[in-house]
Amino acid sequence: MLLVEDLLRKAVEAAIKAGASYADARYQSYTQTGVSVENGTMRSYESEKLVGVGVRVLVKGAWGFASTNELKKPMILEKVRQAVKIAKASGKFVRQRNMTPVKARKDEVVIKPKEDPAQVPAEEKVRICLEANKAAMISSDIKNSGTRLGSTRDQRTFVSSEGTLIKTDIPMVGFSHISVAALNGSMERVPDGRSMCAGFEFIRGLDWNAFTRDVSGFALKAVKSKPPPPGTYTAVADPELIGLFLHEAVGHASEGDLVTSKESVLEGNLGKAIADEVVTVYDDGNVEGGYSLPYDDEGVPKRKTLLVEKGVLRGYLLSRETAAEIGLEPTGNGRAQNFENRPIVRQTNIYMQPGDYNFQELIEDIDFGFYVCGRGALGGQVDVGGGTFTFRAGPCYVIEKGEVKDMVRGVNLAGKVLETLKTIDAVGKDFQIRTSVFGGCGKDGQLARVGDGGPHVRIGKLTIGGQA
Amino acid sequence: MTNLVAPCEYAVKQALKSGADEAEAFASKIVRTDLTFQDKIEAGRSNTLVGIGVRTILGKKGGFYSVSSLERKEIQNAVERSLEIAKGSQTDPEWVSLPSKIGRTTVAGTFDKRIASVTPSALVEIARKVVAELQDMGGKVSITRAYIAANTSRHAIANSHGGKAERVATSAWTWLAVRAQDGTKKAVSNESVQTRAWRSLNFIQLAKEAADRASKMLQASPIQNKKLDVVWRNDAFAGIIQIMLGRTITADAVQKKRSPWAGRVGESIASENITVVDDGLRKAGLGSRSFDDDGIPQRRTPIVDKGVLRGFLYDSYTANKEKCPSTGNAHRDIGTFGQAPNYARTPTPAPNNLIVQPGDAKGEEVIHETKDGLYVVETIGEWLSNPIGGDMSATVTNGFLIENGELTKPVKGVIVSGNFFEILKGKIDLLGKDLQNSGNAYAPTARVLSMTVAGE
Repeated sequence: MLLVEDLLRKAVEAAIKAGASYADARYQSYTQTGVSVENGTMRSYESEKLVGVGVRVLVKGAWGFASTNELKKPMILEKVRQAVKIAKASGKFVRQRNMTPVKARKDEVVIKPKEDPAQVPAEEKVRICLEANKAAMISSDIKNSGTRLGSTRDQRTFVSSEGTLIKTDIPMVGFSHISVAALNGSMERVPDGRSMCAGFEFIRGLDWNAFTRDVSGFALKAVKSKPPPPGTYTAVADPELIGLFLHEAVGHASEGDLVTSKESVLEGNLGKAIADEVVTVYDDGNVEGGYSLPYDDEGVPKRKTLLVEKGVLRGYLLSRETAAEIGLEPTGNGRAQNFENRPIVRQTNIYMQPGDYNFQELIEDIDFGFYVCGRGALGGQVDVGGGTFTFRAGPCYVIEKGEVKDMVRGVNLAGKVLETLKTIDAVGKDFQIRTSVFGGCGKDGQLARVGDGGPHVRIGKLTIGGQA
Repeated sequence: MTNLVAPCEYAVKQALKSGADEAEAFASKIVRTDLTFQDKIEAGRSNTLVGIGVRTILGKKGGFYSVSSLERKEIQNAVERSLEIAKGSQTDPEWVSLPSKIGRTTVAGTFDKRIASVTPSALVEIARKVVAELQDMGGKVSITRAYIAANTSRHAIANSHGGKAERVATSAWTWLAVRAQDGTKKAVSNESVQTRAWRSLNFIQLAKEAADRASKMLQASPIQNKKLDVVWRNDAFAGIIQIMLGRTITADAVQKKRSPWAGRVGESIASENITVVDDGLRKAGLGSRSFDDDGIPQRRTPIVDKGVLRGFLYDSYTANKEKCPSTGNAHRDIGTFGQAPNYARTPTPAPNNLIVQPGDAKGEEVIHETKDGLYVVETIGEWLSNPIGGDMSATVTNGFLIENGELTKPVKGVIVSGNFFEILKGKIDLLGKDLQNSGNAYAPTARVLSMTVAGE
């Protein structure tokens, strides 16, 4: 039986022999367990182990990629041949690829959980979910209560023909809950959750019964609230929502592949002011509360990347090939969902650097506007080319004459990348980042774990969709 | 070709031997060839994925474990882990049994040899033609990203009540984003098609359509807040139907009280011109399969008949709960996590092919008959709408004002919203005859009266 890294080394050697100028091979072993409880009964307990190898080759400037989960040497070598064949099929009709040179490195990063979720008996996970699920039934107006507990372990080994060998082992756990409240023929759902790159100790450290009761209380308030009047207003966003906002409005548009294809509205804006001078934004692979990414899937370390400094666009998120094309250093953002996918440029944890406003100072001079909140939010989307972004906030509040007033619900927000960022005029001094084990960011059919956040932030002009 | 029935039968046999009262195995083999390109080829790919999921039942307790291998040793591991989970899980008082009979029907058009035999070089050739076509249109338009994929999937199921079945199907997917540029002005338009028939992919026409619209979108300007009649292009409307109806007409949503339609069968929930069916047997339908993910033959199920709610979609579990037959709507593509192949999940009910029956107007007639409106072609964020509360909204990225029956100013960045329940009840007044799909939802071009448009 060959060791995984020997098998990968054989694969890249075979690729080079077959004519590749560069090759890498990635092994992944991914396990996940999800417990799902709904309305007091168990809905499902699913557990999965996914193992496989993906091979990427560069032949005369063309990429070929093939993957399999049959880990026998003949099958892997067959996949190498396929990848080379695919690359050759592109012939001359290919955009010549270069990769910014990086130093070959050998490293292993293991985040060791204090308590391995795989060792926690199924009964116990089920019990935690069931209890919390039942705790959410605080009123007969709560019609549906759904609770999930999930854990994953993502082990990856990366070997390249340049001699790099990187091993990572990242655990993640999380809990999420959704309550649906109904009142007078009207229904509202509020999802909320917490996740961490850690072991089961994270689950033991919080009172999930209190958590779900609180979500239900919030849903009961929300179902009584009205939609906002549509229009463009001043808004103060909480850390959760500013995270969503940055992910859509800055993160995606700064992804190197969308920049080199000239699709992004941020293309050609390096060194130019794209936001107000109070805005400084980072993408960081290692930040408290976020997803931990020590290395990307090209073996490049992911560090703290400055994207926007005092309103000026200072960088893009880059893989090795997009870095070569733009002429900058790779930032460790070449990520693949799993061994089946080739790495593409992805965000890690995006956040705004805190400023010096407290909450009252942020809302003080707003005559009529909204306090837009992330709790219960569903996510967002951006049209990187057109520059329009949108996201769905959780229940929000009206701000009237410097005070937070009535709750509103069904709040959809939209803006334009190059316009909205310039209307940000005040940044709070608090700070929070979150991630999720239950989802992530989708791009080109690949899902990536991400985190986001920041302080409370005031946005001068944000379009709010509601019902007149 | 890998035989998938044998590993399923082996898993079931081993599970029974290890003490399971009931057992089921579902195996997949998925082969994908795809290509990403811009003005030149980006990368080609070939994936092969196999796996098996084993469900075991002890009394009324269930367990599930899946592995990405069909080797006996790994299957045995999955069986043991599945049983461990069943032991630790909770008794489900409503559990009746796994399906007592696995069977299949036949559906035309679900396997296309041309898709199954697509080669990387054939995809490169298509890309070359599409790029050349756009270059002929002059310097203002170009492809920013495009994708073509050909998938062949084989699935098998067996359970301890003695049945087994296997199906093989193909599908193809393409999307392309075309950018128009004029000085510093940029605009992007997207077109995409998901289909079971290779010949229905007209790459050149899609590229031209996107290029033509992107050129027009260069002139997009903001509009004021107002109420407008909104004409939805067929595929955009299908996307809305998928989100607002597809998730709440399942027996699972109804039984768990997260559907606004619970207890309302027989009630009029829409105007008389609205008929919706879930047709699991639609010829070449994207969701057409000879059996569902429980191993039950698919069928046609009326959902809304001339405005009246007729019923819901069931898998075996939800049907057993109500002591009624399954409608053959078990799906394994919905789960706790955002990422997992379908063999790694347990079944829940979902639409097969959810179809809003077309009307009799031509698509363009719906526009011509609109005096003052907005034509919506592309949106983002429509999936963030709330099918339970009914508030629906979408941010328009490609749209046009309709003035006196003609498309005029291009519009982007506005939020269109409305209450979906009120829309169904009497605001959809015109339906085209031009059925189109977005995923496995099918709808015609539709006009929705008086929606809220949030602009400046």
